[in-house]
Amino acid sequence: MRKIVLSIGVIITMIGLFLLIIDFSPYDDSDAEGTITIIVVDINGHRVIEDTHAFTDEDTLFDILSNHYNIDYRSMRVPYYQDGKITQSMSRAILSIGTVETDFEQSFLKIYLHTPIVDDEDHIIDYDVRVSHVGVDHLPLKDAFVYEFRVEGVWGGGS
Amino acid sequence: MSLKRLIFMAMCTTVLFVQEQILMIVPNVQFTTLLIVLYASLFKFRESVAIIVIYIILDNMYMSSFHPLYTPPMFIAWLTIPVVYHTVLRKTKNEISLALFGLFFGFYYGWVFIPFRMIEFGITDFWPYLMLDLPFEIIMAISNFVTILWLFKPLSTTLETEMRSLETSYGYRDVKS
Repeated sequence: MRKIVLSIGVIITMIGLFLLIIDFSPYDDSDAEGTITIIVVDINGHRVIEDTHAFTDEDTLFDILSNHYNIDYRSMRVPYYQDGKITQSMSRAILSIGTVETDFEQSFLKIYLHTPIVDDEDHIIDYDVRVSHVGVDHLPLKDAFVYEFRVEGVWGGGS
Repeated sequence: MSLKRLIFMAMCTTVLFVQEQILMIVPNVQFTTLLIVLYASLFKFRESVAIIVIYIILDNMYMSSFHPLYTPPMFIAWLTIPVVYHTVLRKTKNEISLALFGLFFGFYYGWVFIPFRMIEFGITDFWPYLMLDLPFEIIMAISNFVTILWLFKPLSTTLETEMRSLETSYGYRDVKS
């Protein structure tokens, strides 16, 4: 009896914690409109794509990619808690953009987020380049940001 | 060390390796923590360390994942179990204490990898990474807690009986001190 109560207690607590943080994103919401730059770098470090696109509040990063490039992706459903119920969000991993292809086993597209650094007059003087913590579906569209997709190799798996 | 004991250790290592490969389709759900806690309680410290070292080498060979930023955290994390079992936990057989340790270990395992992963992927922000890793740590923590709480005792009793009969069947005992 003690073990059952303990098991249920721990499982409920952990699931509660899980649902609280499953949809955590370290980024702000998207801007209403603006322009972004998409950069795609192949395995040899060559910039294959470097284009600027306008977006509105109805667009997502995935929309911009799928509207302008021939892309391939893998879908995964991720459960999360919202408005009192467990629902699911689509989480997609981009496998290829144009001629740059990965298999998600030996290689993958690592996303780098270039955040503009502006001076007092709002001119971009540099970019703060950081690895994205989230996938393409959870990255907001921010005006003047650069989204770089770079092919990276991976080592095996294991746990 | 007797040959039979050595074979028994090899069989335990095989079980450890195979179950993990079978359960690899479910992220962070495995019996690895349960089995390593079990082995730490059944075998001498150096024997459980040997099982863990062989298991990690096998796992990395099979998954082609030998890497200075991947293999060392595995050693650090898994070898913590026998160290903690023989020190902080004082060789307890209390399943609740061990299950609570398993719960904590689910988080600890993820934390050990964080600095290595940050170097490997060039991640510079610690807190977002920690938060985004938590769901996976929670899955492992639940898996560890439930499996240890419910399976440690029966498995421990069965394996202890088997080890005893194995060692006495050759007319000598090499029971762990």
